[in-house]
Amino acid sequence: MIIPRREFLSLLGVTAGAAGLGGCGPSWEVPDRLVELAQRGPGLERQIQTVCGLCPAGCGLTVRLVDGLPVGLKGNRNHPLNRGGLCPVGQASLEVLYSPQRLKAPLRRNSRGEFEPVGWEEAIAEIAERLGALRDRGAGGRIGLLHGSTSSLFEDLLRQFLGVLGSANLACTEGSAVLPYSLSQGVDRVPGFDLSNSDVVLSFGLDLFEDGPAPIHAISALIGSRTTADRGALLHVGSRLSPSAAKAQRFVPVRPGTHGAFALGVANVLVREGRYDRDFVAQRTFGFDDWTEQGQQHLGFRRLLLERYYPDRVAQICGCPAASVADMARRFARASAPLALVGGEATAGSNASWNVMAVHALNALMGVFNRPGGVMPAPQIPLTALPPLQPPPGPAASIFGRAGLGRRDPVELLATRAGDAPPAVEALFLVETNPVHWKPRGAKLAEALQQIPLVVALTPFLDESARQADLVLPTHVFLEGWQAWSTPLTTALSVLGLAQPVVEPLFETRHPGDLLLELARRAVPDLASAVPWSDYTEYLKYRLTALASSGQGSLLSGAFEESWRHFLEQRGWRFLRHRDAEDFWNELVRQAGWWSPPSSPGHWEWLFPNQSQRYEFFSRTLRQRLIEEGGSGESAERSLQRAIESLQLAAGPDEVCLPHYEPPSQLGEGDLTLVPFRPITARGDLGSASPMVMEMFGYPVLSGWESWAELSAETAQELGVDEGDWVALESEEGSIEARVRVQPGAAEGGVYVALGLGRELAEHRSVVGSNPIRIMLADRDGLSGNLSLTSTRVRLRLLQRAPAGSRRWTQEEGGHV
Amino acid sequence: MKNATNDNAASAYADQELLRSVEQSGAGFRVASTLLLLVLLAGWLLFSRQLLYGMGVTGLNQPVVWGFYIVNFVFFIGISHAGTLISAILRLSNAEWRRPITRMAEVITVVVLAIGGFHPVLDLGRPDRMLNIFTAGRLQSPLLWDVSSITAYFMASTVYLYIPMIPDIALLRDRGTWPHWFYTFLAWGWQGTPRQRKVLDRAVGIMMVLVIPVAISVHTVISYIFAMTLQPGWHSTIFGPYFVVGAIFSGIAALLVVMIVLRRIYHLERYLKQVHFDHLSKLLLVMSLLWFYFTFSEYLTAFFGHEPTEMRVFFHKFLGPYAIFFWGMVACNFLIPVGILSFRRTRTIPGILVASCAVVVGMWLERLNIVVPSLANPRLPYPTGFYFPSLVEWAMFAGGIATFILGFVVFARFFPLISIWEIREGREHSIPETTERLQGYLPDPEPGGTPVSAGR
Amino acid sequence: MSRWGMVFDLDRCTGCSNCMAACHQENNLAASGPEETRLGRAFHWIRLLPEASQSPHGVRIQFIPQPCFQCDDPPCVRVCPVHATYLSEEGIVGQVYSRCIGCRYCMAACPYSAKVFNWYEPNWEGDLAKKANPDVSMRPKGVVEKCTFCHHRIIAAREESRARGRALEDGDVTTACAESCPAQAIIFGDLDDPQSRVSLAARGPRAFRLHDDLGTEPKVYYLAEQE
Ligand SMILES: Nc1nc2c(c(=O)[nH]1)N[C@H]1C(S)=C(S)[C@@H](COP(=O)(O)OP(=O)(O)OC[C@H]3O[C@@H](n4cnc5c(=O)[nH]c(N)nc54)[C@H](O)[C@@H]3O)O[C@H]1N2
Ligand SMILES: Nc1nc2c(c(=O)[nH]1)N[C@H]1C(S)=C(S)[C@@H](COP(=O)(O)OP(=O)(O)OC[C@H]3O[C@@H](n4cnc5c(=O)[nH]c(N)nc54)[C@H](O)[C@@H]3O)O[C@H]1N2
Ligand code: SF4
Ligand code: SF4
Ligand code: SF4
Ligand code: SF4
Ligand code: SF4
Ligand SMILES: [Mo]
Repeated sequence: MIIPRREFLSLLGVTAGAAGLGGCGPSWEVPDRLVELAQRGPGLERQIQTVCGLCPAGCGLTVRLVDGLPVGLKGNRNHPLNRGGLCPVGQASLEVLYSPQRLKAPLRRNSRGEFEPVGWEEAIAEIAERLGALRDRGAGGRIGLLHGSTSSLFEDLLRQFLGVLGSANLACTEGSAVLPYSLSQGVDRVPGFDLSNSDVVLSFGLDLFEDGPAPIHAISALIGSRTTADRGALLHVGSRLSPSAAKAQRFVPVRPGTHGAFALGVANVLVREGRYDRDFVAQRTFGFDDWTEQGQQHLGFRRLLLERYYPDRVAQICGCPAASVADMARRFARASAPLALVGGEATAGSNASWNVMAVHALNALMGVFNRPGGVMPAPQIPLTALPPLQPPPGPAASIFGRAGLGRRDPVELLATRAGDAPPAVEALFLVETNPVHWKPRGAKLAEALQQIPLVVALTPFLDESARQADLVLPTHVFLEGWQAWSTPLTTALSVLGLAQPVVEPLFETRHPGDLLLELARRAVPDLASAVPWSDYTEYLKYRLTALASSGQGSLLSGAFEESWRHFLEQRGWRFLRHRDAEDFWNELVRQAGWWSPPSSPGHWEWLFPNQSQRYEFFSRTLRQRLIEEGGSGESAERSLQRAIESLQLAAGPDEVCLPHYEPPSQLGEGDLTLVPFRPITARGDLGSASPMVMEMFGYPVLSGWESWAELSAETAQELGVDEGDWVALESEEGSIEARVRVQPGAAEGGVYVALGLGRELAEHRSVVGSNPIRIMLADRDGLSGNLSLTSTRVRLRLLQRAPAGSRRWTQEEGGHV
Repeated sequence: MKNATNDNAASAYADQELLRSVEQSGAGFRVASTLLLLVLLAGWLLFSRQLLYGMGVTGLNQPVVWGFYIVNFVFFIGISHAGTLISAILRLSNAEWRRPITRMAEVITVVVLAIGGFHPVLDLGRPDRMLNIFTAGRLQSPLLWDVSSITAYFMASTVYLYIPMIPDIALLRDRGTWPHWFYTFLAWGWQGTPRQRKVLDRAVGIMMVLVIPVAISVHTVISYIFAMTLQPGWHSTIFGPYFVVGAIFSGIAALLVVMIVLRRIYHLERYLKQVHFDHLSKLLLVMSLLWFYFTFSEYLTAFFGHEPTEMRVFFHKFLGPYAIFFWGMVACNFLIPVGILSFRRTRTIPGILVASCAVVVGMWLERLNIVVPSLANPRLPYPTGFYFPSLVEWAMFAGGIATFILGFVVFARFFPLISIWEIREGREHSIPETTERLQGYLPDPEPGGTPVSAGR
Repeated sequence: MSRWGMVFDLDRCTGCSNCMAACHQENNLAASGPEETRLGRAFHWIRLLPEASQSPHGVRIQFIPQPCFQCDDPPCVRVCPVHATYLSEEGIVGQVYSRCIGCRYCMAACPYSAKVFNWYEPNWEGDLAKKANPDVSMRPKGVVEKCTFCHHRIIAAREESRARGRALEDGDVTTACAESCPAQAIIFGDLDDPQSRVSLAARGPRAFRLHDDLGTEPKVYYLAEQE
C-alpha cells in the first residue's frame, strides 16, 4: 500500500488535531481554527523556518512574524545541529537586520577618492564591461575573488562565476584547516567528529562551547539533546580558563601553543600503560613501530613517544604538573567513546598543523575511527553537478596556489604581489569577507587593494575592506535572501539547511548570488549556458534536484511525524515522499532543510584515502611533499634536510614526519604573549552591528562595549596592574587599548584579548573596543601557510588606574582568585 | 505705675537693637539675597537637565541607586532637630537661658525641613507622578511613614514657630513698620490682654509637648527606610535611636554655628552671652560621646558577627575607597569636638565655632557613609560599584545650602531673630519667679524660729 | 492556580549567555550604550554571575544565570510606596510601569540586584524598534523594570489552552530564555503541580537557592553541578 505524502500529512494533521498537538507546529499546520483565533489577532501571527546565516554553523531558526514583520526568533527544534538552541548573536540577528549602519544603496569611489551613491544599473554595467574587456584580452586570469567561510553551494557558484571569466583565482580568507588531516588520514576535507555519541571529549585549545565550527551543535550534541545522566563529559587542555574550559570536568592549564606536547604526553601514557586499541593500530595504521624501507630504518611513533614525550618532560614544556598528564590520559582511556579535538588557540599559531597531527594521533591510538561517537566523514550531500564551461577557456592555475604544503596565505600573497608589473590581479571581488580587519598586517593589505585597478566589495556593511574598494555593492542580510548551508566542518552528521527570506529587503540591496549571475551573463554572453539560472534561487533548485531524487536522508520534520512514518513503515506501509522535485523543494523550504545521520562508510579505503589506505602516524605523504619542497635532484635525504631548514623546524628528518612538538614562534620583543580568543558573543562577523550583543559582549567579565585584557593574577602583579585598570598593549605594528581583567586560569606571561571588537561597519561611527589582530606581526604555520595569530609579543603600558571598589566575583565561595 | 513706664521705656529701648535687622535693613540684605538667589537659580537651571533627560544626568548607577539627594535629605532633616525639639525641651524644662535662643532654633527647623523634605522629590525618576504617593500610597512602605511624619513635623514646627512670634509681630504692627498690612494680618489682632496671653501660653504649652514625639518619630522612620531592608550595613535594630541622636547632635552644632554667625552680623553680643554657648556646647559634648557610643556598638556588632556580606561593607568603609570619609567622620564627630569642648580653655566662642562646623561636616559624612557603601557592595557581584556625584547633584547641594542661608536673611529682614517679648517676660516675671523657685528648693525657715543666720 | 517557578541546571548550563540575548529580544530591552555601560548602567533582566572557587583540582569558575528570583516574600514589593511592584496571585512579581514613580527603593531593597532602572528614555537607534515584540510594552524613562517570567507568554498560553477547552498543562508555557537554551538547562513551569518537571527538579537532591538564608523564598532554583 503506497500513500502519497499529501495524504500522509493530512492523516497526520487529523491525528494531530485529535491528539490535540500543536500550536503552529514547525512541520505541519494543525487544522484548528480555534488555535488560530486564540493567537492574538487572527492570522496576523506566523512562524517561518529558516537558517541563521551569521556564521557558517547554520543553526536552524524559527522566526515569529506579526503582520509580516519578524518580531522574535528561537532555535528550530527539528534542526539536527542546534536542536532548538541558539547563540546570543543569532538570537540578536534582528538587530543586524534593522541595523542603522547597513548600506542602503551602491557606492562608487569618485575622482576625489570619496564614496558617492551610484545606481544599480550603472554599477553593474560598468563592472560587467570591465570584466568582459579583461576576459577578451585573455587576461581573465587576472581576475580574483576572495570570500569568507561561506556555504559550499555558494562557493561552487563563485567558482563557476570565475570559470566563466576564465579565472581560477578563488580563495577563502579563512585559512584551510585540512592539511594536517590530509597528511595523516589522507582526507581532503576535515573529518567529522560524532559528538552526539561520544562520552568523553578531550579538547586541546578549542573552546568547544563558544568557538569552533559549530559551538551550539557541540552544546546540543554533548548536553542539550541528552539526559543529565548520560551527557558527554568535556576535558580541556588550554592556556585560558574560558567558559568552555570552566565547563570541563577537568581543566589543565598549559603554556600557550604547547597543546601538541601535552597530547603526545597523553599518547605516551596510553602507550606505556597499553591503554590503546592494539588491533586498530596493528591493522589500520602505519608507522607506529620502527619500519624499514630500502634497507633504511625509520623511526616509529612508539619509540618517539617513549623516548621524547614522557610526562616529566611534557610537564616542563607545558608548565603543568606531570600528574595531570597521566590523569587526563586515564580519563580519556577509560571512556567508551573518547574523542580528541583540537582548535582555537592550538590551531592559531605557527605550530598549528603539528598540534593537530599530535592530537589526531590520539584518536588513532584509541582506534575511534569509523564508529559511533568517533571520527566519521559526514555523508556526502547528493548535489547536481554544475554545467561544463563550453567552450572551455581552460582557466589558468590559480595564483593563490593549491591548498597544501608550502601554500602561502592568499591575503598575504595579494598584499605582496599587488605591486607586480604586469599586475597579478587587475580586478578583485571581495564577497562578504573582511580580510583588512581579520588578517594581520591589514594595513598592508589595504594599501595593496588601493593599487588594484578594480576592487568590488559585496557586503551589507561598509566595513574595513569595503572602504578600500572602488565599488561597493550592498547585499541582503540573511533574513532577506535565499541560502543553502551545507554541513559545517567537523560535524559527523550531514545537513543541508535551506534559508528562505522572512522579510522583504529593507533597502536597495541585492543577493550576492543574483548579482554574480547577472555579471557573468552580461560580461560573457557567449558562455551564458554555463550559468543558465535566472537567479540564485533557480541555481539552488538546480543543485538540489539530485538530492530530491536520491531518496537519502530526510527532511527536518518534527519528531512526531518521523516516528509516525517509522511506525507505519515498520508495518509494511511505503511512502512516496515526494511527487516530484517541485514538491520536494516546497517541503524543503517549509521545513528549512534536509539531513542525514552519521553513518560509517564501512570500507576503509574511503576513510583513509592515501596510498597506504591506513592512518599514517608516519606521514609518507608529508615526507614526499617535503622532499619535493627541498627540491632539485640529489639525494632525498639532502632535500628533506633543506626543506626542514627552510621551514625552520626543530625536528629531525624522521621525527618531522611523525606527530611531534614544534615550539611556537614568538616575534617582536615584549614581556607578554598576545593570545586572541573568540567569545561566543563574537560569533559570526556582524554581531557588532547589534547594540545588545555589544552590551553583553564581555559578559564573562561583566563588561560590555569595550575590549579587555585577561591576565593571570601573578602576571598582573608583576606588571603592577590590577582589575579594571585601563592599559595599552604595544607591538611594532601599533597599539590597542583594553581594560585589565585578572582572570584565574590564565597562563602566566600571556595576555588574552577577545576578537570581534574594533569593527568599523559604517562611516562616522565611534569604534567599539579594539582589534588585537591590528597589532600582530605576521608569522605563519610553515606547513599550511595559514597566518599565525599567537606569535606576537607585546608590552603593556598602564594608562589609567581603575576607581577602587569594583568587584567581579561572588565571594561566598572562594572569593577573589 | 511710674516705675512700670520706666521699665517699659527701658525695655522699649532694649528692643531697638533687636528690631534693627527689620527696620534698618540696608544694602547688605539686598546684596546677600541676590547672590543667594543666583546660586539657587543656577542649581535649578542644571537640574532642569535631569527633568528633561532623566536621572541619567546624575552620577548614580546600577548598584548605587541612591546618592547625594538621599544623603542630603537625611542630613537636612537631621539638622532640623536643632530647633523645635531643643527649644521644646528647654521650654519644658524651664531652662531660663533658653530665651534668646529658641526662635533661631525654631527658624532653623522650619527652613531646613522645607529643604530636606523636598530632596526625595529631586530623587524621583518620575516626579510627574509624585502625587501617586497620595492617590495610590501604600502605608506599609517606610517611605510613606516618612512622608506623613515629616509633614506632621513641618506643620507642628511652623505653628510652634508662629505662635510665640505673635506678640513681636504686634509690636512691629504698632510701630507701623512696613509692610504694615503684612504685620497687621499676621498679628491676628493681638492686644496683649491677659486673656490673650493666657491662650498664648496654653497654646505654646500644648505645642511643645506635642512636638517632641513627632520630632523623635521623624528621624526614627528615616532610619527605617534603610533598616527595614535586608541590606548589609542597613539592617540594624539600633538605627532608630542612632539616627535620632545623630540628628540632635548635628542640630545643636548647626544651631551653634547659626548663633555665632548671627551674633556677629546683627551684633547680638548683649543677648547671646558666653553662658549660652557654654551650656549648648556642653550639650554638644554629651551628644558627641553618645554618638560615639552608638557608632561603636553599631560597627562592633557588624565586625564581631563577621558575616561576609557585612564585612564587605565594613572594609569598604574602614580600609576601602570610603576610608577617608569614614575616618574623616570619626575625626569630625568625635576627636575634634571632644578635644575642644572638654577643656574650659578651648571652650571659647571661636573654639566652639570650629567644633560645631566639624560636627556639621562630620554628620554629613556619616549620612554619606551610611547610604553609599551598602549600595556599592550588593550581595551578588556587579561590574562596578563606584559612585561619584555629577555636577547637577553638586549644584543642588549648593542650592540647598543657599536656601538655608537665604531663609535666615529673609526671616531676619521681616522678624526679630530673638523673641523680644520673651526677653521682656524674662526681665519682668522670671527673675522674681526664679528667686521664688530657688527658695522653693531650699529648706523652709523653721516655723516661727529665728533666721538661720542668727546662729547660737 | 499556578505558582510559576524556574530551575537552572548548572550541570548543563555552559554559560553561553543565550538566555540574556533571548530575554533582550523577547522583552524589548534597549541597549544602554557604551558610556552608560561604563557607568554601570548596562541593561539586562538576566545576568550571568561569574563565581570563582578553589577546588581540589585547581580553580573553578561557574557562570550562574540570574533572572529576578520572583521571591514569594519579596523585599522589593514590601517597600514600594505606590504599589507599582506587586506579587501576582501566580507568584510573579510584576512592575506597573505606568504607576512607578522611580524612587528606586525596590532596587535598594532587592537583595539580588535583580532590577534595572531606565536612566534615560530607551534608545532605539534607526529602525531597531521595528523588531519589538508587540506582546510586551516599551518602557518609559524613569521607571524600574525586571524579569517578568515572560508573563505575557503565560497569558497567551492560558488563552490558547482555554480556546482548546483544556487546562494549562506542564510544558504549555516556556520563557524566552528557556526556549533557546542550547543546553536545555532551564526548566520553567508550575511549582504547585507536583508532577511538573520544574517542581520535580526543585525538590531533587541537587536543588538549592541563592541566599536561601534571607527567607525571601525565591522561586528560582539551581541544580548543583555534579562531578
Ligand atoms: N514587568 C511587567 N510588569 C507588569 C506589566 C508589564 O507590562 N510588565 N503590566 C502591568 C499591568 S498594565 C498589569 S494590568 C498587570 C497585569 O498583571 P496581573 O494582573 O497580575 O496579570 P498576570 O499576573 O499576568 O495574570 C493575571 C492573573 O489573573 C489570573 N487569571 C487569568 N485568567 C483568569 C480568569 O479567567 N479568571 C480568573 N479569576 N483569574 C484569571 C492569572 O492566574 C493571573 O494570576 O501587570 C503589571 N505589571
Ligand atoms: N501578551 C500580553 N499582552 C498584553 C498584556 C500581557 O500581559 N500580555 N497585558 C495587557 C495589559 S493588562 C495592559 S494594561 C496592556 C499594557 O500595555 P501598554 O499600556 O502599552 O504598556 P504599559 O506598560 O501599561 O505603558 C503604556 C505606555 O505608557 C507610557 N507611559 C508610561 N508612563 C507614562 C506617563 O506618565 N505619561 C505618559 N504620557 N505616558 C506614559 C509608556 O511609554 C508605555 O509604553 O498590555 C495588554 N496586553
Ligand atoms: S551565529 Fe552561528 S552559531 Fe550563532 S546561531 Fe547563528 S549559526 Fe548558530
Ligand atoms: S542559555 Fe542556557 S546554557 Fe546558555 S547560559 Fe543560559 S542557561 Fe546557561
Ligand atoms: S529577586 Fe529582587 S526583584 Fe525579584 S522579587 Fe526578589 S526581591 Fe524582588
Ligand atoms: S521604583 Fe517604582 S516600583 Fe520601585 S519602589 Fe519606587 S515606585 Fe515602586
Ligand atoms: S523569564 Fe522571561 S523575562 Fe525573565 S529572564 Fe527569562 S526571558 Fe527574561
Ligand atoms: Mo494592565
